Amino acid sequence: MSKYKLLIVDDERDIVALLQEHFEYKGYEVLTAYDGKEAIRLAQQQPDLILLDINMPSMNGLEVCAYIRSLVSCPILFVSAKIDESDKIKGLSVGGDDYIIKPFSIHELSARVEAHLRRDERHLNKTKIKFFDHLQIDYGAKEITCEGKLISFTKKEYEIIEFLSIHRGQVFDKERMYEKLWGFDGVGDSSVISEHIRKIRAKFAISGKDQPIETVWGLGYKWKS
Amino acid sequence: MEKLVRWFKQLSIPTTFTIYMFLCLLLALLLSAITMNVVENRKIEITASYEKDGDHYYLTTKEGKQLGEGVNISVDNALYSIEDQREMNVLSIVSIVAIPLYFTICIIVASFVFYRQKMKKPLALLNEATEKIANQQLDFTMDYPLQDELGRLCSSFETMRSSLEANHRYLWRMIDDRKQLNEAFSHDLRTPLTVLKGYLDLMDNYVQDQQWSKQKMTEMIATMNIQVNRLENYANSMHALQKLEGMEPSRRRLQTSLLIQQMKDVILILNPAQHVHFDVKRLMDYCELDVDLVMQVFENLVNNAMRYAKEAIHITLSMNERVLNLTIQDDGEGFSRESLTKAMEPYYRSEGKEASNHYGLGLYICKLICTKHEGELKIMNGDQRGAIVSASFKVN
Repeated sequence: MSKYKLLIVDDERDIVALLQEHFEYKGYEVLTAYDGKEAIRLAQQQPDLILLDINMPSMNGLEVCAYIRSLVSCPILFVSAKIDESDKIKGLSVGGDDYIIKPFSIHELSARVEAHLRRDERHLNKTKIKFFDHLQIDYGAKEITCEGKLISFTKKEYEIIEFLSIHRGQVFDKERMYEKLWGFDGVGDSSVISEHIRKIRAKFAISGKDQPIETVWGLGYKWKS
Repeated sequence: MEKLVRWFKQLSIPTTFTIYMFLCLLLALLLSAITMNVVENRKIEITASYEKDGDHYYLTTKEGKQLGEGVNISVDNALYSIEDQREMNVLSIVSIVAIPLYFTICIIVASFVFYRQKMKKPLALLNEATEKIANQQLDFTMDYPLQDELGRLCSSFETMRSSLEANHRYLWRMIDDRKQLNEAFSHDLRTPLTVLKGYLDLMDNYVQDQQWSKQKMTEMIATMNIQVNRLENYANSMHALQKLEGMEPSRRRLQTSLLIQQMKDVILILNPAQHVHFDVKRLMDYCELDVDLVMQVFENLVNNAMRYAKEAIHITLSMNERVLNLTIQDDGEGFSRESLTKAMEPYYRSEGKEASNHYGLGLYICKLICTKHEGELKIMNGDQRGAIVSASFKVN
């Protein structure tokens, strides 16, 4: 039987060496890449599974995944040192099939690779998160539903909702939010944030349920925890 | 006239109160005097109209000349007509009631006007402000232009409100910055841990199988050692960083020429391969700063420049009023787009992770020091090529 082909991508050579050592021993064929560009090039060889690190210079794992997701149909497993819930959500929402945290047990990683190769967990789509019983956000599809009904938001409104809900419970003042969402490139100033929030609240108000975004001291906003 | 009104408005509260009271009492007195006068005159008029009979007595001098008007003495008939009697009664009542009445009304009016002018607006403002704060609302400003007692109270209140606002913003940003720092650190910690854990896992299995030659084992152990060193260094760097964050700059006054000399000495010691241009512009004779911290930034930036510059490094030192500016420009590749936004973040490295012992803290530390010294750190690319890093420190 032909060997399974794995593509391992990480900018840390020691980690790639480690994984290569293990999987070659297990009888897999291993391709290695140390950055995003290399990974995209090697992805054209149609591996059966890709292990992808997130924190890489110039092109990070999320960008790589978004790029190649349409080109390959194999499982993509993120292996990352970023452990926040928000990172996991982001990973799964760009098309990753699984998210494994460093440091990992090599056996556990092995087992998961095997499971994905068997297509056991192929369509496990964990990008939907529920808030307060009535609100659901699908970060993959970028859709927000309230009690089953889809609410339509503009791009900027969605970005604000995504940002606040991912950092649930943390307070941000308007200037900080503007910096983080639209960076130093953005044209305009932080007063647009209040405008957007006003519109978001109006849309949520139609459902008649409690507002998920709270104003704190009249200065900052947070997603209710 | 405008000026008079303005002057009057900014008088203190006790003064204004006294003035109003004084004016009102004056007015009341005036009104009382007029009224009493009128009443008395009227009474005399009425009484006089009944003095028809009676004897007229007067005093005379020895010669018989009349002295004075003389006086009419008559038996008191006192039979006023009904209208006159009524009028006399009214006049009597008026004479009793008028004075207290005038005084009372004037006092009330004066108090009312005083309140309206001096107290109503600031009290309303203060009330509104306290309510807003009770409702956890800081998004307003208190604006009361006068500087009397209540005006000063409003100003203090506004100071308190704005420092509450500043505190909250600062706290939230600090929490976020700290979160980012911890994430960066934790992330960089996990990599060596992953390698260690992974190799240990492998070794555990394969040592049974005797899969690996001695040479292979030795290689593996060497790799693991490197990772352990990395862990150790990270722990140390985090500690050093925390110490730096907790400290306050200790400023000393020194001659600027001494500072320049120190910088030149450092350049000599570092001995860069590239050519160094050192420009000094518009400096004052003395400045007040924490020399150690400033030199730390200087060394760090020069080291960075040495790493990236091709042939030349330009250092410019200048001062304006209260700020010392240090700019270092190299003619290397400059900052990549990603680096421009991220270079000052902790543990950020643009090249591969194993490149040297440099953990990506340099610019972060410089930024921290500049902030502590009430200055700023800015990075940008030069017009043609190369990177520019500009550090400023508040002196004096």
